[in-house]
Amino acid sequence: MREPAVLLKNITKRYYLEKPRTFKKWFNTFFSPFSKLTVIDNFSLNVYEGEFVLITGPNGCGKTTLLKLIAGIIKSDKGIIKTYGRVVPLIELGAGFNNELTGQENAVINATILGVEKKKIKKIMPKIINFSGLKDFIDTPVKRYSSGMISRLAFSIAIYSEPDILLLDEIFAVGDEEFRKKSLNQLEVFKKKGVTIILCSHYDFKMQLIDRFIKLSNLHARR
Amino acid sequence: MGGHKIENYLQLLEVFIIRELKSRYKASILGFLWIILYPLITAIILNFIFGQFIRINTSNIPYFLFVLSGLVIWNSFQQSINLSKDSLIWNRELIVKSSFPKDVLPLSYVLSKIPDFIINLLILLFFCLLSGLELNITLLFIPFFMIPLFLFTAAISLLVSFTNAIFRDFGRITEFLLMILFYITPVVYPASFIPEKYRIIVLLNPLAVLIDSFRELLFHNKVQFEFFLPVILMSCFIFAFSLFLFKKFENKIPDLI
Repeated sequence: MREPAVLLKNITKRYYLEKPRTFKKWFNTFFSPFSKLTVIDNFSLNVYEGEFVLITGPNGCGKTTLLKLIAGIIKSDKGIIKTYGRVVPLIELGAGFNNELTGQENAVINATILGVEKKKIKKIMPKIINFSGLKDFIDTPVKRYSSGMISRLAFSIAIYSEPDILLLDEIFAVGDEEFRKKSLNQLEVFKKKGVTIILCSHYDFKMQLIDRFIKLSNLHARR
Repeated sequence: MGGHKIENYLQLLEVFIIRELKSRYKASILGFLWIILYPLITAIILNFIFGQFIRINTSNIPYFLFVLSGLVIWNSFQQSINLSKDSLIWNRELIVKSSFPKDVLPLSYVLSKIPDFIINLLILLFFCLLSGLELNITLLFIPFFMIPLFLFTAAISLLVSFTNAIFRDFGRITEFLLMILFYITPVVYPASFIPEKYRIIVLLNPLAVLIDSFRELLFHNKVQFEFFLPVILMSCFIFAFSLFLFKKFENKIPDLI
């Protein structure tokens, strides 16, 4: 019997198109409420432990929104979301890095946000540095990093935070060929370990690792 | 599970405080010196205006020390609020792309101001000794002032940072609210200047009570328990209420920021 890792039941997510940034606009909402855009409408999905799911679809179909909902970054308007185990989202590589701080200092912050304990961080730091290949630059402020270096660091942190469920959003768009191969190898290792992986991409690439393909369509394609 | 969550929360607070302290002082050499210069310069200016020109009667207490003692508490509050009011906006990227309790952001900025408070306090005590003021055992009560002060500051920072994240105008409004609060708080004048019928303004303002009892302690060696205990209870209540409100609407922050 396969254990569930992620359960989505009748999820609906609506975004504000306009935010009530000013008091004037906020007062106006009493007369005409903000229009909301439905991105995900009554969507259900079960992902089982150890499954590798690829979600594809055009821009604006709700791929990232789906990952954010699973990660608990945003809340759904309707429906139930359940996850089992540590969820590690990689929505945008290096998002939230502090430019003034060094690679290592940022790695500590990032790992803490992912829920890794202090002692553990100390233990995995050499592995993170090694995998990212940033040994000589780990004490350099992140503002001096190239975008490739930032993504390598972010991806390495996520890998060593011991995820049960790994959520990846378009992460293979960056990084060079070598790092890409290394990352794919790592995903294979995870797959063997029974880590659940949900990957979002524009491209419908075929990989032996992938168990299930899900294609989302744009709810607002006509516009 | 619960224990692990609290542990992670404290760890988050810790890394965010360290991050703020590091990035604050990494860029400038004078950065640290400003902690000392800021209260001294404001106290000198206010000393000239209210001590020399307007001549506020502070009954035997040198006006410079009088105003500096008020500024130690006021500056800590004002600077913490000014810093933390943008805490959610500054960390927008983090908020929309990772999942963590958002209240650690304003709280860590407030807590990162504790070293500044202690340094200001030491400057004040230094000038007190310099002008021949006798400091005695009652000064051991000073740490107890920090609890209600920082609870109250943290509470206001939660409310202000949240409101500011959703209505950007509120940041500007905060500046005016702080200005009003500065004048209704007895910083540049003694609390006794406030007419009896407006006494309620002092009693409902934790900062006013704290500054007034702080001066009683410093200049008259009196510990005013009758004001001190209510202000601790009041700060706890305001903090609990603010945290409750923040937690209630926390989920909306990523969608609205």
